[in-house]
Amino acid sequence: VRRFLYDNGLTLAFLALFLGSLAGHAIAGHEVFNDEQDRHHAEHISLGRYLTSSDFAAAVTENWQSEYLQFALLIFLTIWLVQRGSTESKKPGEEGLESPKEQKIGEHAPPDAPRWARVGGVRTFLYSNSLLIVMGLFWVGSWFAQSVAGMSEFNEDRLSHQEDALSWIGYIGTASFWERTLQNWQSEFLAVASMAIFAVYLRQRGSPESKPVGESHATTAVEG
Amino acid sequence: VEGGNGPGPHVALLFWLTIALVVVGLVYFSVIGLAHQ
Repeated sequence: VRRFLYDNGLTLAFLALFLGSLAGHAIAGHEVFNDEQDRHHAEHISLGRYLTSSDFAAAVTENWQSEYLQFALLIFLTIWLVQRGSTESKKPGEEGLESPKEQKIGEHAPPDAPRWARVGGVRTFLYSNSLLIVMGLFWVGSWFAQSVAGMSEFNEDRLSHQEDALSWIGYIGTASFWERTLQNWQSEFLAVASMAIFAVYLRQRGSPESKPVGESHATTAVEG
Repeated sequence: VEGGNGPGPHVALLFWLTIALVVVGLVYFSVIGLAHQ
């Protein structure tokens, strides 16, 4: 068990923070929801009922989609775009998909390479893009979940005001859907831009997200 | 995940558990959204 905790500390720490934050979100969100119910002279709902509400589902998934989009875009754009001096970037001149030899695929795969890196064909193509594919699918999946949960939340409000419910296509054309989407995107993009450029001049001793403290500002793609 | 000298079965287990966590979450929240229509 100690070996498992040591070997997986980074992932386990973030998963624990995720579960703790989600629980806190659920408890605080439940309170806010019931405060709103009071304001409309409506009945309180239980925490269990809140956890299956479209209000909670939309709030969680609108944040998920922006995070997966952030990572998917960072993975994709760093193939082609560089930031001179940044640990988040490849070295200038190395843009693009790189050769099979550099990527150790097909006949260039070492004996301990993943099998799909060696076999060629569709499997090697899929495996060559698997990180982007999975992050992209999670982005699309969570954005879809946001759209259907947001739609039912939106329609509940419309029905309570004697207005017609919108279809899914109708909802994804509303300002409400795009406000919820873009307010999350903007923060992710600012954070990535900050990280890319800050990593040129700022350091954190001991962190692989940073260059070594004494490394030149000009050095690109060196992790500490 | 595959490979001669992988990081070990526990790392692979955590990988699949994390994938499963997200997939279950996405299905759960999508079903909630669709069920309330």
